[in-house]
Amino acid sequence: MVARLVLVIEHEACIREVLEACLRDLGGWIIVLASSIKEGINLCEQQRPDVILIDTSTPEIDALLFIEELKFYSTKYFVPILLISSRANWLSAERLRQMGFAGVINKPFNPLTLSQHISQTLGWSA
Amino acid sequence: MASSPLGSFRSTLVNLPLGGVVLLPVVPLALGVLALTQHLGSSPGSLATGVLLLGSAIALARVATALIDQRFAHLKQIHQQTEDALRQSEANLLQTQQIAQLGSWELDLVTQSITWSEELFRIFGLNSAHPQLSFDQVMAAIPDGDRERLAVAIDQAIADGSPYEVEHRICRPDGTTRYLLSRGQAKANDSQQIVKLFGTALDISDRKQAELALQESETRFQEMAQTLNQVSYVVSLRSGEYLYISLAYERLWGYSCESLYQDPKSWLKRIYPDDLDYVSETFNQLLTGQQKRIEYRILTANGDVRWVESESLIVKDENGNPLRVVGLADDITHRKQVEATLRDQEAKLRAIGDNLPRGFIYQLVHSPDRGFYYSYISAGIERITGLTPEAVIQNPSLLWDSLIEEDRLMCDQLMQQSLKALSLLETQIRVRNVAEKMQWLTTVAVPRRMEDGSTVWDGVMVDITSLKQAETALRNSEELFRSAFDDAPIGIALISPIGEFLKVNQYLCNLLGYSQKELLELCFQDITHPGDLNQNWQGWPQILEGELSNLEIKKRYISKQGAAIPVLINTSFVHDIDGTPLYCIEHVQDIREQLKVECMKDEFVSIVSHELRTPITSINGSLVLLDSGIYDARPEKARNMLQVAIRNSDRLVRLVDNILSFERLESGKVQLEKEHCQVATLLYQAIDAVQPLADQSGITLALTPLTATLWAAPDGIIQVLTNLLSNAVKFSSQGGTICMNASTERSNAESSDLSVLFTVQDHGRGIPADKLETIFEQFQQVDASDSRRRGGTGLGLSICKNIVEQHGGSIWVESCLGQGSTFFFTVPLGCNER
Repeated sequence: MVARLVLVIEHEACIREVLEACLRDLGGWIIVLASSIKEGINLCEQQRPDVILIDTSTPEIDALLFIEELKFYSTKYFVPILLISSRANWLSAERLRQMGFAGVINKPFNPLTLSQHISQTLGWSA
Repeated sequence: MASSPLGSFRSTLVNLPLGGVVLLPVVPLALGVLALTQHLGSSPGSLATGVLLLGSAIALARVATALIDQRFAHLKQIHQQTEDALRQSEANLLQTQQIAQLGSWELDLVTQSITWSEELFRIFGLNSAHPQLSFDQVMAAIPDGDRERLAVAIDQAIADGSPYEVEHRICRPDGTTRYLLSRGQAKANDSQQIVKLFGTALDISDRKQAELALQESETRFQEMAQTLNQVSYVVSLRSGEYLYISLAYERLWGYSCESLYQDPKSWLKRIYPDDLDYVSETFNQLLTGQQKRIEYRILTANGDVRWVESESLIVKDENGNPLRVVGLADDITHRKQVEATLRDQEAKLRAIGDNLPRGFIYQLVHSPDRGFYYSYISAGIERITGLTPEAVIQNPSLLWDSLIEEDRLMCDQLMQQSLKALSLLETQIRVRNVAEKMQWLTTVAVPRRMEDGSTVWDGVMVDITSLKQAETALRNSEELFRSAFDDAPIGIALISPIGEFLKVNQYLCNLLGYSQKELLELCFQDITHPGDLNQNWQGWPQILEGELSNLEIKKRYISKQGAAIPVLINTSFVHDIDGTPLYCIEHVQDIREQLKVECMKDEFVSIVSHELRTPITSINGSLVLLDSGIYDARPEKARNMLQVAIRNSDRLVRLVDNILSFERLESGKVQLEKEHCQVATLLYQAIDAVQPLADQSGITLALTPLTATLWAAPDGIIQVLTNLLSNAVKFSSQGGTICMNASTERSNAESSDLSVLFTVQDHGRGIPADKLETIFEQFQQVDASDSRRRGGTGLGLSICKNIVEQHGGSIWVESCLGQGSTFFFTVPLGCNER
């Protein structure tokens, strides 16, 4: 099994920490953490992640701009973006795809099944 | 045989014995006939007398005839002796025959020739010089029927020599008919052979006509008596029998007249038992002439009770002894019924008059000599004014004086006017009753002028005091409701079933920006947002039909200025008694504020749920990972996870505290417990609370302490300071400085009271000028995204404001974008307290 590289963009340090623990220690993936979208974009270029997890409820200035940049990257390199949101269930899968997201991670999430959920969403074999 | 009547008469005379006595009966006969003629020519009332005279005349004529017969025979004997006397007699006879209208004749059976006296020719309407007629000619002058009877009598006389007497008619040549009484007798010759008939013919036309007239009169009387509804009766007082009772008896009583003839006492049996005594008594009075009329009831044959009035007269003989009762009885049932009805009606009227609730009826009279007075007042007047009807009738001024003066003047004018023009008297007046309480009365009276020049008003007076009171109450209530309508702090409109504004209040006008006049020319459809019109109409039919009593919708009205104003409409329809919708009442509530608050609430919930989820996610995540056991062999990792959980649970507690304290402060549920506290202590405690946060961001907290004692709730003041400090930390950049100061100052220019002024100054990004006021409102933040990054709830400054205001102080902010903000708040020292 190839170890997947996951980029996590999360401004909340605690959640970042928990996500990292979940995906690395339980999922066995390689995790790259970013505390802002801007930082995430830079890491994409460097690390070439297999998937990007992003919490968009960021207070970051020009967040929208960066998200668009990230989407552009996602399209260009076929790297799926998963949304971390507490309002995820407001949106249908179809709508999410239109918005450029491959799926969603609901807050609060189940840490034990999170990696499994991501694999399923992205069609990765376990 | 003589060829002239005179000759024939002479020859008759020759055979008659003639005596001087013949003249004796002739004179009275002539007088009687003369009198009769006169009577018949005069009034018909003397018919009876005429008949009497006629009777006498006939009787006399008969006697005369007999005497003449006798005397003629005698004359014949003495004819030879006294030629002069004969001639004299002849003349007398002629005259007598003329006067008596009596003709004589002789029929020679052998020659069949007839010899008539001169008078007989006159009776037959022929000239006396007319030649003698044959038997057949004579018989031809007699009409059918009469002729046969006469012929039979003549034949009989010829056959057995018996005399006859036949009444028959003759037809005169001029066409008139006369009645004759013909007598005849046969005369035998010496050998006892019947050779001649002789006799007389008396013109009885006048008598006959009188008889016929009498008969006719009798018939008329009978007819009248039969036809009359009145029962006429004649009762013999001597025998008690009915001499006459008219047929009307059968119609009225239902019993036959015959029954009464048979049993005269039966009339008493028909009297209604209750009236029997009265009738018997009155009947005795009738005999003494005291009473003529009796009214009583009878029981008819078919059991009906009818009223009868009888009027009787006593007929007395010349000695004054009562002979008969003559009278008329009439059916007066109808009259009695009418009378009873009238009595009943009068009683009814009186009862109505006396029992008129809150009123009375009266009759006011004005006569030229007496002026105004009352002829009748019903009992109700006492209930209203306390005056009795009798007292007012006796002294009209009693009522007059109870009138309020100005009403008296007005009333006087109206009465004079009504008197002059016979116009309806209609007015409202006020009187003071005997208890000095004012009463409102209304009156209507109709005048009519009497023949004697007086004027009579029939009127009714009704107490309308309670009505007037109700009117006033209604007016007051109407004013109340009008003001409730006009001054309501909510829009109210009355709207017709097709949507026109019928009435609008000021609030609605202000809300929609239209004047009342403008709005009343519009329909609600005109100013309803097109997008809401369908929804508005949907419930309309149901509420119009009364299926729904109330309709509540939210919609938008478009103001005159074109702004959409969200409103909550409450509509209910007012229907008349038949259920026809009259108009609807619409309550229009401006819900802009409400919507804003709702919107804020939604936002609050959204923010709070988001803010809560973040720590919960961390706590949940770290605990689940710990629980999974993956860190069992890596204690430092496990510890790390635990710290994540602890940090976030702290944050969660803080958040929940904030929300709760805001809610409690806002709802006024918590009164802050005030006490004397040192300002410096409060400042230090606040610094201590925020220090860790500041350290995290490398921010320096600078403090200028103040020694002063404050009457305040320490926890409250510390919370305000902490909130302001942590805000300042959140918005300060790394390594910045936050200054906190406290100083005493006058509460205001006029007052000597002192306040403590606290300031918290940062050098953050600052607040835009338009937000300086609103940031103290709940959920107001400079930037919605702030809450995410700074962990704020949007409640912090609201809480501060609430606490400061509860201390009687105020809070504000000064700021310069990009340079920083300074928050100020004052708290009165409150040294005078406790």
